[in-house]
Amino acid sequence: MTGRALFDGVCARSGLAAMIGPGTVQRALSSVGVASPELARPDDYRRALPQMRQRMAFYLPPEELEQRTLDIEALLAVAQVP
Amino acid sequence: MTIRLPSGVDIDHFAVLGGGFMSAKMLCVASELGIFEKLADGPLTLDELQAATQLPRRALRVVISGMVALDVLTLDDGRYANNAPAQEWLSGRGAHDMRPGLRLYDKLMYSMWLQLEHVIRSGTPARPSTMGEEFARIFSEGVEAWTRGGAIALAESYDLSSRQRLLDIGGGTGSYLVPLLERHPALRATLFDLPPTIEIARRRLAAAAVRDRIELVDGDAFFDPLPAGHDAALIAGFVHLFDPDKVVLVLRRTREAMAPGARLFIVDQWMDPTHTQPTFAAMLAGTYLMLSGSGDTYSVDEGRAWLAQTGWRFVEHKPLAGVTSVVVAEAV
Repeated sequence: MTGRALFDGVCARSGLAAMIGPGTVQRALSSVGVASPELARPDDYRRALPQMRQRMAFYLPPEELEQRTLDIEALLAVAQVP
Repeated sequence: MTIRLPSGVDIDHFAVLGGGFMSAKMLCVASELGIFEKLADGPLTLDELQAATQLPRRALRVVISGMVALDVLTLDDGRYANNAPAQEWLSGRGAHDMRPGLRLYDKLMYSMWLQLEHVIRSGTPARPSTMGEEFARIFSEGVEAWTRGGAIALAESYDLSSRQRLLDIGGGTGSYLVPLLERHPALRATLFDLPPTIEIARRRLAAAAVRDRIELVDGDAFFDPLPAGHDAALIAGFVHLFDPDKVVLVLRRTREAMAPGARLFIVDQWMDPTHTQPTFAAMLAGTYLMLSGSGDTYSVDEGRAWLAQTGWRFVEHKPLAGVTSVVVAEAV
């Protein structure tokens, strides 16, 4: 899973609303130098995860934040399998 | 056993209220089927409309009868016609096309409203049936359609000729900004929104006559620095997506980015103190709750209190169009 499908998958697992999630994830990717979600690889998301967590924490209660982070990490682990 | 009915009560009262989704869905589907478009050139019989739409005759009759019953179409001597609002807003021939607004309700909101009970119980946002770029496109086009009336009214209501630069926070695709800039030739503006929205705005504004006076900046109003150097700010259709703490935060951040004397326009469906009027705004509160998990339609009194907390002086509250109104404030 790469490109747009991976981006949509991360957004869905973030637990953020449809109108907030994509922009929030994209801003986090920008902060680690990824210009476009289509270009982002699982490692890029891992590097962006602290930024994503910070922004997710703004919207989610702590216990949900932890679960959502685990969900994203699980997706990234699967996505790395060729 | 005899059923006793309270006098003056229509036995169908709650059937009509509870079945309101039937009216809504039938209207949206009539629009998607192109019925109002096919009637744009004048009245048609059922057979003529069937030929034009290629829809099954009896099913088509059910839909157009419903539209007559809802006072969207007229029926005279066996010929169906758009009434004046349908011709102006749903036929594709008027100055304002509201079909994308109905598409937003039909394709995105309807599926989200199915989750209302879960949203209320869990406090989590509803998941739309369509995600990604398709969601963004339908959402942006629909919001543009619904906000156009308020946007034009705002541009016509306020003289911004003494202002140089306007910051539009969470401005979407610029639907409020464009009429304001068209009305004020010397005004320049910055449109600030999340990256996917800015990308759509870049495409949609490409051909706008005022494009060269709009700077597009992507960012998050809660986290990223707000662009500096503006003497007016617009926050339209934004506060209803968030809980009061977040609204206060964005008002404070906006105030910190402005000098004393700057004007702030907050356009929304502002409510009365009981949160029960306008009626449609009370229903929209459900939509906003589902969109973000914590949205609401807020009262003018709440807005006034938030402004006082964040360095703004309340100036006035003024109706714009339909249930949309504006709260105006000044930086102190």
